[in-house]
Amino acid sequence: MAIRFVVDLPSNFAALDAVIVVVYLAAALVVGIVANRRIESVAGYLVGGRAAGPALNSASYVGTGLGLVTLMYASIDAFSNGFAYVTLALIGFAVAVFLGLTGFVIGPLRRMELLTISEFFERRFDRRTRVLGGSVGALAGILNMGLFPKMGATFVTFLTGTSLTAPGSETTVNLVMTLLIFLVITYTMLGGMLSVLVTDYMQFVVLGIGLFVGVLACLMHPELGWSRIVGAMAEHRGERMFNPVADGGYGWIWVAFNVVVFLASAICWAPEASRALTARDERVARLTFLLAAPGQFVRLGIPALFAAALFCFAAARPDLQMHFFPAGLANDPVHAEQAMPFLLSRILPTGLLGLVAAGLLAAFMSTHDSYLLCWSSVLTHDVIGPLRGGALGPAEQIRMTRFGVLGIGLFLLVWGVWYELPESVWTYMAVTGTIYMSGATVVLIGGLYWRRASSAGALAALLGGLVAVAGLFRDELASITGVALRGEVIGLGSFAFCAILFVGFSLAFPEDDARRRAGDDR
Amino acid sequence: MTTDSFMALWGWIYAIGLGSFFVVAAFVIPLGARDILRLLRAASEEERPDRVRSREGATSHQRAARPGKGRPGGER
Repeated sequence: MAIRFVVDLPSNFAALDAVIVVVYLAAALVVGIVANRRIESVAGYLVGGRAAGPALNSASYVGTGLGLVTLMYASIDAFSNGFAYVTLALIGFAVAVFLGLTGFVIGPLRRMELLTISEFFERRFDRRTRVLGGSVGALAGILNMGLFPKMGATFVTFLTGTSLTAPGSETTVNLVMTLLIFLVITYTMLGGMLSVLVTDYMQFVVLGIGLFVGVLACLMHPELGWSRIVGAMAEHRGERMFNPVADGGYGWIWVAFNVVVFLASAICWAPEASRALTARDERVARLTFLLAAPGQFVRLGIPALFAAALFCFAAARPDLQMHFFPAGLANDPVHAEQAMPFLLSRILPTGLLGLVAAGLLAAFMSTHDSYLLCWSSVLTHDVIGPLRGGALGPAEQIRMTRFGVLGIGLFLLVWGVWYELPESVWTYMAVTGTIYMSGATVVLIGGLYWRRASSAGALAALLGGLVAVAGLFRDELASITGVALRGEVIGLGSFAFCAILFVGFSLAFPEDDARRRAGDDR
Repeated sequence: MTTDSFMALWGWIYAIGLGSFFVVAAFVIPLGARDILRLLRAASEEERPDRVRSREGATSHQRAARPGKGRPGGER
């Protein structure tokens, strides 16, 4: 029997689908409990004992990146910009292949046997750089997670056919998300990286099958199919849907900014970059990125395909056209966040819908577990530990990391589920991520490959990344200066600004000779 | 490039991107399961010497004094 509330957009989601989802969630909890009995050391808790093989590590890497929030914002953007948005998927693919083939940054980091990226900052520079890097990273990372629960709630709402207009339905959805977050907190606290690796793998399997079924359903649906999908976009929206640098499209600066962002996130954004640290050795670290390259394409390419399919659907149905394109198909859509879950809920039959829903909720949870663990470990390992004058004992470090997971999870509940954030998803995430990545990327690459890099340069670059906050206040800045800057211009400018600060301060305040010799020895 | 050329290009890109993902997934799924078993076995072997040591002579007081669940020293 299909679940029906006061329905705006109907769904095939039924009791069988709910059972599949619940079984999957219970399995994830069992993994955390089993992993907890095998965790003995801090390395075991934070980086899975540095023992992950290439297949598991790449599945986990793809699982972390293939989050529900990624799928949601990819479908939102592609609903407006079509296949031009999939340029990002190509960039992600190319960056992963580049890192896998060259071992750029990830190779040296793995050889150093680090637990976190910020630990490198102390080995190469000094403790202040590590504490600052850890603090800015954790702040940016935790804020970056702020919208994840809200996006998850939106997904559950439209996939199950629950209407936000029904009395009390938003509270119901928020309660479901609260339960999911508590589940993630529980197994992450118990099992650490071991449970993250295993649940990411489970997600990879379930979501891999689910996405395969979803793509087949999309391409073989009598009203859809590849030719119809691209044909509808070309007919109603034109070249801009296919060419990222067409007139009125994204433009070259957007392409350049995203090349930098994808590279930066792979090498220094803790939840993703930590896969270089969990690998068994450097060869496995490089193989991880190579094997994960197709996953980088899929995580943006498939939701974009679903969004394009809904456009095709809407072009043929006046009721959907009225709902999504009230100003006409040639204009940008409204309710874009409903596109992917609505399409899946319509084209997948009961049973398969449950499998896909379980996979997507798994995506929601696997992103949360990686983020919770990574940012909590950065806080304890790179901020609290050094501030207390040295390394914490193993038991204390694991205990504090677990408290950190709990604290960040509770923060997310308040910030993400119950608090209505005013910013758009993409702007919010790009800005919060760039705050850390713009400085950290420069410091990481400079620290590894430039002999004259100094602590003063590193501190200046990390602080310089804070200018990216300006991206959240673009409208206010435009009214003051009279110049309207696009988000990608501010983002790319932040990276350039940090690089200039890093080089300038390193040359102006060089490291003393003894310290430089120590760096050369490494 | 014309719009038709772009449409054909995206068709090829999707065929290669999706095809390579599902081929890689076909290998990663069974090999990943093997990696998990190895990881769990490695964790068990790491655990075993501690248990042996504690059976062979550590007093309850000595065990309580160890950091963590029984790993001596400040291993990371």
